Formats: sequence, C-alpha cells, structure tokens
Amino acid sequence: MVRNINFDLYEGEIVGIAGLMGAGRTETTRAIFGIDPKESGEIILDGKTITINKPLDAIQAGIVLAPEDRKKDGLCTKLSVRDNISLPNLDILCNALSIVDRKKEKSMSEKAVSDLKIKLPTTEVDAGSLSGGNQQKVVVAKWLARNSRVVIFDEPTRGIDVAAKVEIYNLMNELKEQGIGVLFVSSEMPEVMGISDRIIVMCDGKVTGEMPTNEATQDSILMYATKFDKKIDAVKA
Amino acid sequence: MGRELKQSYFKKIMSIRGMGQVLTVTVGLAVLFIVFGFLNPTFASSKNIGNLLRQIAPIVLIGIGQSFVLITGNIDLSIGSVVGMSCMISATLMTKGVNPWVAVVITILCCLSVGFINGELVAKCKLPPFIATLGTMTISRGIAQIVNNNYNTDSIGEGAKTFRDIFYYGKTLGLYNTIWIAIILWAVFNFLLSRTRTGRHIYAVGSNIEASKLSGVSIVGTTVKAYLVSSFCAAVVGLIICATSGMGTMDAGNMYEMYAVAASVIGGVSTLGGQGILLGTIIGAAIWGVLQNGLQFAGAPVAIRNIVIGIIVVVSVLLDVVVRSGKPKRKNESSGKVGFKLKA
Amino acid sequence: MKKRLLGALLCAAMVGTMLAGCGGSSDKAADTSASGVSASGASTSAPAADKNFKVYLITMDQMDQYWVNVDAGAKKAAAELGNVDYKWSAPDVKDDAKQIECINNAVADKADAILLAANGPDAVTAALKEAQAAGVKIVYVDSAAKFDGEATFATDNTAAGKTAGEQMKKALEAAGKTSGKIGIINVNAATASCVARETGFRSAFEGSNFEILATQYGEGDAAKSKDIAANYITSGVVGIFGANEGSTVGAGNAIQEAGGEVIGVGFDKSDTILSLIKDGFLLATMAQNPDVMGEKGVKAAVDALQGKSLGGAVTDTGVSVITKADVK
Repeated sequence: MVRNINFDLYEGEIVGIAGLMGAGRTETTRAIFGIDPKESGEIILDGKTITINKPLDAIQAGIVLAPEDRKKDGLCTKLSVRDNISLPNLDILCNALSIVDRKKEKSMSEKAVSDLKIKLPTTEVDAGSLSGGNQQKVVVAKWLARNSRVVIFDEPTRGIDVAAKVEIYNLMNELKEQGIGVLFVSSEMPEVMGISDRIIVMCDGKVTGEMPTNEATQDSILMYATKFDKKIDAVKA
Repeated sequence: MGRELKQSYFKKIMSIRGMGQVLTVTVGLAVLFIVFGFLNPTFASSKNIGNLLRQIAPIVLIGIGQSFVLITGNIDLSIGSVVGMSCMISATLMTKGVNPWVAVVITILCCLSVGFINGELVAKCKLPPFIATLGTMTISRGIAQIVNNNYNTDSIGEGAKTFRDIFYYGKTLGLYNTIWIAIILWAVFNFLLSRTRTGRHIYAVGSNIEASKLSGVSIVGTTVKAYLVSSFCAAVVGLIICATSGMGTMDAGNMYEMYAVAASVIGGVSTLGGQGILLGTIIGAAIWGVLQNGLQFAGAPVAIRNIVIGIIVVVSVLLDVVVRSGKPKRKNESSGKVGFKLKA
Repeated sequence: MKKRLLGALLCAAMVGTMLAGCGGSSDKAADTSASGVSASGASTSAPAADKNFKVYLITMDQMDQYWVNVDAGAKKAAAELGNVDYKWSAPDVKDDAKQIECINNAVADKADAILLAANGPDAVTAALKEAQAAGVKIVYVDSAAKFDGEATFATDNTAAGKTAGEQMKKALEAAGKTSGKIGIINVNAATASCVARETGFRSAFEGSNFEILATQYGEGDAAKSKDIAANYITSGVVGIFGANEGSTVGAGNAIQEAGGEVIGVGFDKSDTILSLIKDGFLLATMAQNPDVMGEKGVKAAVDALQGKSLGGAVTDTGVSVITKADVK
C-alpha cells in the first residue's frame, strides 16, 4: 500500500528512488505502469491526464517498465530473444491484418542486440540461456524500439556483472540525452548517487524526501529512508 | 553447390523451434507404418490409406484445438463433450426439418459459447483449467443428452445427403472431403499460430503470464481465443460424426479430449505451455490413427492396443518433461565455481 | 377442560398424518447421478386396503432408447395393475459402481421390489444381497446378475445371436458364397449380453468354411464402429455382424459406403437401422422386446410381493427378425 505519492519527472533527467526494502518503491512503479489497481490518483504526461488501468495503456502512452524480477516478470525465458523483444512491439511489427512482418521483426531484434551489445550466438536462443547482464539488456531492449517518453527501471543492475552494469548506466544516460524521463529504483546507494540527477526517498509507503543529487549524502538519504511515522522503540534490554 | 543448398535448407528447417521433436516422431510414424504394412499388406493398400487418412482427420482437428489451449499453459477437458453436443444439436435440428447448413451454423455458435465460457472461467475467474473444463465437460455432455430428450436421434434423412457428402462421404480431387477439411483448417490455424499477433500472444501467455502482462498482452483475451479455437474444432468434429452416422449419438466424442492431448504431446506440444508446433500435432494424430487402424489389421487383441497406445503417450510426455528441464544452462550461471588468480 | 382440548387436537393431528400417508404419493424426480430426463411412474391415490407396492426399475443408463422402451412397458403394467408406485432410476453412464449406488438408494427409499438390468453380473451381487436382506424382491430384466432373483425376463442373447448368424449364413449361401471372412463388431468384452450374442453368432458358423476374424470393439459408438467396419471391408470380409445398436449403425453405414456387397446383420432397432435395412444395406436386425421385459417384470414383481413363488424362472422375451419385407 502506498499513499501520497506526488512527484514530477522532467524530460531528460534521471530520477533515482531510494529507500529500504518494503518502502513501497516497486509498488509505486507497478501502480504507475498499471499492473496493480490504483484507488485514486492521476498520471499526467506532457500536460495531459492519462488513464492507466493496465500495462497496455501505459505502453501506448509511452511509459514503460523494466521490472524488478527479470526472470519472473521481465522475460519469457523459454521463448527466443527475438520473440521477447518483439512481444510488446507487435503493434509496430504487424500489418493491418495482424500478420507479423518477419523481416521487420528480424531487423528490430538485430538492431536491439547490436545497440545494446547483447552477447549471444543468434537471436533464436532461449532468452533464459543468457547471462544475467545480457538478460537485463533484453528486458530493456524490448522498450527501445518504441518512442517512449518515460522509462522506469526497477533494480536494473541486481545480479549482473560489473561490465554489464556500466553498460546499463551508459544506456540510461543515452536515454536521458534523448530527452526521455528515466525513473529508477535501486537499493544500491552509490549507484543512486552516481547516476541520478535527483533522488526521491521513500519510507513505509510514502515519499519522505526529495533532493538534487549534488546536495545528497548517504546519511541524509538514510535519514529519509528510515523516517517512519511511528517511532520504532528499541528493544528493551 | 547442390549439397550446400541442401545443407542450408536442412539447417533452416531444423532451426524452427519444435522441429526436432517433429522429425523424431515422423521417423517413429514411418517405422510404425512399415511394421504394420509388413504385418498385413492390406494395411498399406491405397483403399486403406484413404480410409486411414479420413480416420486421422478428426484427431488432427481436436489435436489442433487442444494444442492451442496447451500452448497457453491450460488444458481443455471439455472437447469430447462438445463433440457430442455438436453431433446431437446438429442431428436433432436436422431431424426436425431444419436446413442442414442453418443447423451447422447454430451448432457452431453453441459450441463457441462453451469455448468462451471456458476462457472466461480460467482467465477472469482464475479457476484452474482442469476444474473449469471438467465442469463444462459435464454440462456439455448433459446438453447433448437433453437436446433430444435423452435419446439418440432418428436418421437425419435424405435432405442431409449433401451435408453428409461434404463432411464425410464425398471426395474431392481423389481425397475424402474430411481430409480436406482437416488440411484447410490446419493451414488456417497454423498460420494464425505462427504468423499473427494472436499466435505470438498465445506462446507468450503459455511461457510466462506475468511477463506477457507486462508486455501489454491481454491474458483474458488470449486465453479465450485459444479455448474458442478448441471448441470450434470440436464442433467441426461433431458435425463430421453426425455426417458419418447419419444420426446423432449422445455418447459421441467420448474420451476425445484425451486423444487430443495424446496427439498434441506426441507431436511435441508441451503440457507446461509455451512450446510446440501444429505440424507436430498432425504427426501425433497420424501416429494415433495408424495405431488404431494398424492394430486392427495386425489382429492384435484390444488389451494390447490400449497398452501400446498408453506407453507411447507416457514416453512422449516423459521425453517432453526431461528434455525441457534438462536444457543446458550457460556456463557462468548456476555453476558455482569461481576461479581466482592470486598475485604472489 | 384445557387438557381435553389439547388431547383432541393431538388425536386429530395423528389421524390426519396417517390418512395423508396412505394416499398415493406423487413421485419426485428419479434418482440419477447427473442431469438426465427421468420418467416418474403413474401412481394411484387409492385409500385401498393394500398399500401400494413401490417398484423401482434400475437400468444400465438412461440414454439408450432401449431402456426407454423397458420403462414404457413397465409403466404400462403399473398403470394396469393400479397398486404400484413406480420409479425409473439409472446411472448417467454404464458404470458398475454407479449402478450399485442406484440400488442402494432404491433400498433406502424403501423400495419393495427392484427390476434390474445388471451392468456387471458380479459387481452388483453384494448390493443385491443387502437389498434382499432388507426384504426387497429382485426381478431381472435384460441382464441378470449372478445372484438368485424371483424371475428373469430377458432376451436369450445366445439364441438370438445364433439366429443372426443363421440369417447371415443363409443369405451368403444364396449369394453363392460358402467361404470367406466375417467380421464382428462388439461393444466391449465385459457386457454379458453382447458377449452372449457373439458366442451365439459364432456357433451358427461352426463347421462351415467361413473364417470369423478377431472381434473388434467399438464401445457401441456408431462412428468408431463405422471405422472398424470400413477396415473389415478393406480386408475383404463378406459379412459383418454388429452386436448392438451403435455397432449395427456403423456396420450399415460402412456397407452403404462400400456399395452394399457385404452382408450386414445387427441387433436392436432404431430409425437409422430401419432405413439402412429398407435401403438394402443391412440384411436384417434382431429386434428385442424391451417393452415386454418391462411389462412382465413389473407383473412378476407384484406377484412375488403378493406371496407367489416364481422360483427364479427365466423367460425368453425373444427377438423378431426384421428384414426389408418388414419395413414399410
């Protein structure tokens, strides 16, 4: 349950959402993306209020999400990399009769693989057979073919090697340069402070703090991250 | 030059997902065919082949329906009862003087509604598919019984002669019409599954519902579509049976849902969802048909027949499960070994 | 004063319920395991001296027109006799366990007699023993169980099968054939009546030059039976025997498709079978007399309940051979 979430995201900036586990960050991203129902609230994009009741609405409005658990929510591991990349893009790849243009599909997946430098023998291999870092790239690659306005990353570098991490950071910066609003949830403080322009901190389902990154310190973030409504009493000795 | 072309052709075919299993079972089919032909040469006569293909056609159709549902990760136990319902509704209408083609349309609509209900129960109400389709199975069988007041129907009469020819007795270009019906519907549904958006959605939902949802796929819509295909195919088979017997029988289609699962699984469609191609279902249906037909010509006692068929199904499912779970993972995942080079 | 009024009221209440109980009760829907149309029998509301006898007919299922005819005969007898509360019950599909349930439910419903067409002759014996111990009289219709009943009214299936075989042999010889292959389509290896028919059929060909192939089972499904028959025809048979309605329909359809050379003989009557005979694709069918079974069964049950000893007599209700000449 998250409540009183109010924040703005500007074009061409990276906003990091920090907080402890259970703070409600993933829930927030899921609510924005339309996976979980909202009781109340508005999402305003480019000045217009948009209704998001399911992920398809968000995708069509230009808001996309790379989820926290890539194996469970992000990829169909037994389908090919190509199938995974084209799945949310079938509206672009199909003609009026809903027939998939296989040539277009092939070039879309090959472009995605080369743009993100995904290491694989061919795009036909099972998505689940790739390394963690390459899997994460496929999860993101799905969205790059679309003209998205907002890209949300939930724990994008969890469980991937350092080289791949760097590539993901570079990707986020490229998106920022293209004028896309990047929102990313992370539990790694150095990462949040290293790459974002602004930091939002959540605690116990609420936004407790917001600051430009150049003014943030690990302590201040931690302070906001632990700002519970009720004081947690220390255990009596 | 010729050899290179052949090799690349072969490679191209092998690279299609699911072809491995298809080729294996095709070899199996060929072996069975040769064995039965040897045991009784009449088996391989052109007359019998014609009959054999016509006996396989309905299994192909129900196999297609069940495959669609299996690929979405569900199962349809109502297929056999819908076949019975279709046979009874069409025959009852025809015996009451309704034009056969009008009866066909009404029958198909009734059966499609069962498919729709199955899809909604499973995807919207989140009932386990086994339970949901068990329920519609019982209800459909009940409707098959009630439609003509709990009896089998009278003969559908002379007015239905064209209907009977088109669905069963007639031949076109040397092949029985039933075979053409199976071929045409297979072509249509295969295209749907392999080349359209709906087909992609069907594989995705069977592979990972959450990830599909997050890619904007409508789970309810896709599930319903798969069940609609299944009921449509069952409806057509019921019409074929009505044409065959020239009357409606309440227990038509009994156990067909199981034959459909067998044909699908032998052909490589996984019961876990997300895998398999319809070409495999055809071969699976053919193996089933060849066994039924061939064992009669070979004079095998009925008990042996059931045992043989059962063994083949179990082996196919086993292969499916073993192969799927044993796929090699990439080296640096789950291998657990880390190498360090220590600086002296 | 008050006590007396209360006493009178209580007496009136008791008498009232006694009278209500005596008058015939209207029947509720019969006992079935799944949805199915069931017939409830006629009952009389005679405040007569004897109470009505509750007679249950339990058949193998309620789908076959054949059982509907047994029920019709039974209903007729019940109406004629006037002292029978009649009910028809059966499982939704042919199943031993389900039929046992029906028997037990009938006993619990205080049936006085049960007319039974046993699905499995051994399976139901335990239930029948219990029923008999509860005082229920048992009469068999169509298929007896391996348990002594008051009487049995059934087709002598073996004799009927032999008649079918003789019909086929006669026709083959008239067509100049004294040898060749013959195929049998049966239901399954368990139904006693069908097995008996096959035995009878085979006996008609003993000592002849005809070769009867291994029996194939079509579960009584007309479409499956048609495939089996078509395969027989491809193997070059000269004759096909269908041991029940579905098998016969299948055989007839296959013979029609093949041009009508093969001689087909079957069992049971139905609209489709009659038209196949009329068109010449089936030579003859053995029509049983299920209505006679039902009618005589109910009468025997009442006799037994009124104290008559029937000694387990078996009555062959016979078959009529229906050929083209008999079909208008």
